[in-house]
Order: sequence, then C-alpha cells, then structure tokens
Amino acid sequence: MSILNCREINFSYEDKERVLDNLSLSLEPGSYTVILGHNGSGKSTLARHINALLLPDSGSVEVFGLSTSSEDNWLEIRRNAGMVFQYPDDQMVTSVVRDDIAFGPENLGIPRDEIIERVEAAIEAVEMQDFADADPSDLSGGQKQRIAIAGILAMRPKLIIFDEAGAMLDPQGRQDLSDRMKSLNEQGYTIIHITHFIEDALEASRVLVLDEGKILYDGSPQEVFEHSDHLKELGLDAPFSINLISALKARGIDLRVTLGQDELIDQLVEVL
Amino acid sequence: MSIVFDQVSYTYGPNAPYQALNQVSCTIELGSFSGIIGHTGSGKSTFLEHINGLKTPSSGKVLINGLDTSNKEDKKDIRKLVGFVAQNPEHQLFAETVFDDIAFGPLHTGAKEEELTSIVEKSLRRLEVEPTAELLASSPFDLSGGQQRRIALAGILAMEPQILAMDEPLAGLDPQGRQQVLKLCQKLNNEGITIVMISHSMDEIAEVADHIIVMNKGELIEHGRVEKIFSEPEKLKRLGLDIPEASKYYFELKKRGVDLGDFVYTLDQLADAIAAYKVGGVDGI
Repeated sequence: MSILNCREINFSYEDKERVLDNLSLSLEPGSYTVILGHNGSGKSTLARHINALLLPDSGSVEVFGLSTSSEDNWLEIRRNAGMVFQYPDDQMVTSVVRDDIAFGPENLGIPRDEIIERVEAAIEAVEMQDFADADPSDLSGGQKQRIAIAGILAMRPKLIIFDEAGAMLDPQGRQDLSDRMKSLNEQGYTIIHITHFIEDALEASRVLVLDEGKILYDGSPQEVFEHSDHLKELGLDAPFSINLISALKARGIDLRVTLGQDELIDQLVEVL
Repeated sequence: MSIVFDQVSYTYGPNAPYQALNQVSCTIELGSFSGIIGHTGSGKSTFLEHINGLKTPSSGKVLINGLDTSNKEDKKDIRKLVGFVAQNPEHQLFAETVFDDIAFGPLHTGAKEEELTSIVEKSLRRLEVEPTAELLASSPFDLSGGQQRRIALAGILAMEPQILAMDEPLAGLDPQGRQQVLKLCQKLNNEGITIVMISHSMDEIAEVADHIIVMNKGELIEHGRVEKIFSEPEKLKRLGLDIPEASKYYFELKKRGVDLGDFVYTLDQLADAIAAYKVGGVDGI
C-alpha cells in the first residue's frame, strides 16, 4: 500500500493562478524522495497538502490511507507525517532544548514517562546530548535544525517531510542534514525532501521535478539529470559534473552523462 | 583611497571567552571585489560590520577613505559611503509601498521630494528591475523572495554608496535567484562599487571576486588574489574550507597525468583548458 496518494489535485491561493495543476503522485513506504523545483513551482504547496495544512480545491490526498478531506483524520495524519521547515526558529517554542522536543508529544497527550523516554531517544538520534539543557537560541542554524528534527522524531512519525530545511545552512550543514536524512531513511522512515539544491537529489531513490504545479520529471537521479539542459532552463542548477559536461559539449567534446566527479575524471582521462 | 584595517581587535564585552577579531590588518583597494571566507564563528561578520562602523574596534583603527570609523564626526560620512547589506535584507522591508521603502533612506538624509522619483527609478534600473507604476505602488510583502531582495538592495543603492559590505547576499535564494543576484553584484562592481562579500560558496566567490580574505577564529589568516588562495587547497583544508569545484577537477586531473597548465577556478576556465589540452594533445601527435 502506498504511504501517500495524491489523485488529480488542484489548488490555488484565493483567486490566483493554479499552484498545483491536476497533480497525481503516489509514494511507497520506506522511500526517499526528493522533490525539486524553483521558487513558485508549487513544491512547498504540495508539501503542505501532505499533512493537511492545506486541502486541495479538487482531487484527493490520502496519507497512510486516510483522506485529508476529513477533519477527523488530521490529528492522526499530522502525528505520522512530521514536517521540518526552512527556519527552525519558527518551530522553537521553549527556552530549553529538552522541553522543546517534548512539546509535540505533550500535545498528543502521551504519558509523562513515555515522553521522557522519547525525548532522550530523539536527542540521541540527532546527537545533541551535550545540548539537552541549552537554550535553543544559543545554538547554530544546523544545531537548531537538528533540534527541530528531534522534535519530529519524538512524535514517532512514519513520514518526515523536509521543506527547504537546508536552505539557510552552510554547505557543511547541508551535507550533515542530507546524511541525517539518509540514515533516518535506512532506519525505516519514509523521507520527502523538498529542495532547490540539485546536489540534494543525488542520494534519493526517486527524484520528482515540479514546474508550474505539474510533475515534469519522475525517476532515478540518473534518469532525471539526463534532462539537465531543461532543468537549467527551469532555473534549477545542475551538479557541477553535469554543467561541465554541457560546457565541454559546447566545445566539441562529447561525454556520457555521469553524476559524480570520479566517473567524470575517468572519462576525461580516457578522452584526453 | 581604500578600506584599511590597522591592528583591529574586537571583544564582545570584558568577559567574552575570545576575541571576535584579533589584530586584524589589511588594505582593501577601492574598486576591488573581495570575498570573505571562513567558518561560522571565524569573525567574518564582525569584520564586515566594522566596514560601515556598525561596530568599532576595541583597539586599532578602521579607516574608510581616510575617515576613522571610531570618530563620531566621520561616522555620518562613512554610513553614506558604505552600504551594508545584512543577511536576508528583505526582512528589513517595512513600508507600505515599494516606492516608500526605497525612498526612505534618501528622504531622511536630505534628498528633495522632487528628486525621489528619479532616485527610486534609477536604483531599480541598476538592479535590472523595470520601475513600473504598478510595482512602485505595490506592497513589498506581496513580492516573491527574489524580488523582495532586489527591492531591499535598491533601498541601499538609493543612498549611492561607493562600497557595499554584503553578508551572504545569496543565502536563501534559489539557484536562478542566486545567479541573478551574483551577476548584479558583478555589474555593480563593474560600475565602480567596491564590494566586500561574505559567502559560503567557493564557486560563487570564484566567479565574481578578485581577492579573498580568509578568516579563522578572529584572525585574518590570508589575504590575496583569488587564484593564489584557491591554488593552495591544503592550507584551506586545515581550516575546514574547500576550493571551487573546477579547481578540484584541475588537481585531480593533474594527479592522473593530465596537466592543464595554468591554474583554473571557474567552470568556463576549466572547460576552455580541457578543450585546449585536447587540441594540443592531438597536435602533439
């Protein structure tokens, strides 16, 4: 059974243009999906449909088999589909890291002993034991993002949606975040990562490219990057290797599309 | 005419565990484009904030075109000379219309009412935004993130600064927006504005800057031309810093017996060098 099923959803904010245009999508449990798109492509709007923060104007969204159209399902859906946003500050509510992580489960009415257990496990999972009693406002952007993730983990969700969660981090922070997603995925969490950094897509099992509210490409990273020229036209920047391949093509040197530096160097050494 | 840091130290309060800036000395020539690189906590933001007198040295001196940032009488002139672009400058948008937001600075520093329209329009055009009546009357908050950033930049350009101190002006934008704003920065530099820019992206710095300042734990570790700084990856690696992608290919190919000749640090330089090598290789046979 799929963990997410969007059927022909349409959505617009007030009376403006359609942000999601007859979009259908289904995701398998345990998958690691990257949704790529430039600002305004509809990717964050789609994310907000997954945990019922937004409802489609027409069409249906089912998460874990539960329809978002029924208000009775919202709590169950949100408990199981956690979301990490771009600005972790917006998700911090208390002045102690540990309390902040406990906030979600407390609102679910979970018994105190279990909350404590969940909070400790979540802090450990994001390796922030040394900061459990710190004030979140004293932490770096990357550390705050880890606390936001811990807060989600403490809810024991099945699915975690990262909505541009790395956009304000430095490259090292983004790499750490990406590694964390991979490891969470290996532990069984279904991961959806919404981003405009193409490098983020390299680790995914499936890549979707969104443009004007429609799915333009859907496949493995390798398959999607075959369309790198088009991706660039859409305002997405391809990994350096792909850009180099097209720059060389323009100079009369034809190479196979490869994603990593090592494979491209091998090819170059062969050709030169 | 230049930006001079002379033995500048800065401490956050008497009990701070370390110095945010420690005996920093350097001269940044007017007209140049300098990238500042360094880890979080390296002092690069503190360095930048000294350029427009937002912070003044605990000891030492910062001189902007000979004006001393610690001297109260010079401060007003320095603020005019130096535009400071904070991280996410669009967070400082506040007015009801785009026009009012951009006109705010000039209006409060003595520009005449009748000049405002031409100042606002000129500032927007410099950023390749067409100042339509509709845009000028719209609320800045109804615009996209990339547009908001340009409006915020236009507000700073409206003050006609000669120097721009920019703290990660591309952060939070999508790749298209990053490329656009980066090109605009280059254009402003070509028009004669001195730019000092903090960035995490070595590739972006490689594309626009001519000089690099490397900061670590409050100290200025190195200051030199881009090609010099990036041609010494080991030094940067020790500070946890990277080199541009193109330079990585250059070194890796060299290791594998393909010597491209002169050092490269941008995509176009690399592609040109590879193409030239291929032609040269064939000629060699």
